[in-house]
Amino acid sequence: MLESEKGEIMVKFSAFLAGILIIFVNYLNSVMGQGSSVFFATTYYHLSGFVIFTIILFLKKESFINFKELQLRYYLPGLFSVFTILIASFVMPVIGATLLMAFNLIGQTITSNLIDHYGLLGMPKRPLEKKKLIGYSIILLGIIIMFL
Amino acid sequence: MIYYLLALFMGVIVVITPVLNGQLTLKTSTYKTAHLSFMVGGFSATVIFLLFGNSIIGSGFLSNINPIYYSSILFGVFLILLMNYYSSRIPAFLIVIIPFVGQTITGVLVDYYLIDKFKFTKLIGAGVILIGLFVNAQIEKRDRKRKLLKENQGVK
Repeated sequence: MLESEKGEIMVKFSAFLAGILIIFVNYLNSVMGQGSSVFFATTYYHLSGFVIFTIILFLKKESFINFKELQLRYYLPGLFSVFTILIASFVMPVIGATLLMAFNLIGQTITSNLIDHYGLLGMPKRPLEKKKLIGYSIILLGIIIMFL
Repeated sequence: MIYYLLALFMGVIVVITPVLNGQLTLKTSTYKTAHLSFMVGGFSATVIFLLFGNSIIGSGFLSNINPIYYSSILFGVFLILLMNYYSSRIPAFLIVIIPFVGQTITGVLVDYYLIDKFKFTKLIGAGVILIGLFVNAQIEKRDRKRKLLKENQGVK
């Protein structure tokens, strides 16, 4: 096997593994939330992540981010991360992991197309290709089937 | 209804987050970006916990938590490192599909074994969704190739 082929498989496998981990992390947070409270689960998750990345920065001899030059919008991902866990912990036990993922996908599809089409958030403008509506209709059909 | 709307909203923030984090990573570094994210997250989660969740403090709730669940953050950190590794190396048309396959398999297993929400139609629906994603990925792939070809001809 060529070295580059091996590398490609590694990349694809890590993307696959990431998909597994996303559900797994959401599930763990969700059950932790049921045992205590979703607010505790998300607080634990972020504070311990903060500690871990502080240690990583320290080991890598990198400084903290320069807050003076930081635009306000870059604070959003941290806040969103809290909401993601709160929502997953709240929603997963009621509708299940598969449907959570399916509706997540609808939100993702709409948002990424809006960002591309209008060039939002400083991204390059890439107008929606009408041909892609074929794929989106099939995705919608899949979601309808899930409810049957 | 509210549950589905929340799941939809989660999709919105799931897309915006890597866009902003990606921009910040280019300006700073992966670790600084993740550090900031957890710092802001830790702060806001603590505030929310004190506002809405403090009724459980002192009720001995910590003893209700299986120690295994604390490992969530280790998987979370590993996930961030993985995403940083593959997102710049993977062809764009696979960036949604491959993680979705992993999510589907795990999601179905979690529903079946852990939260008892499994339905056979969910499995078929997920399969159909995957076909839709694949169709669009192929359209994107073909368009990109055509564009590249055009650009190359332009050079000649």
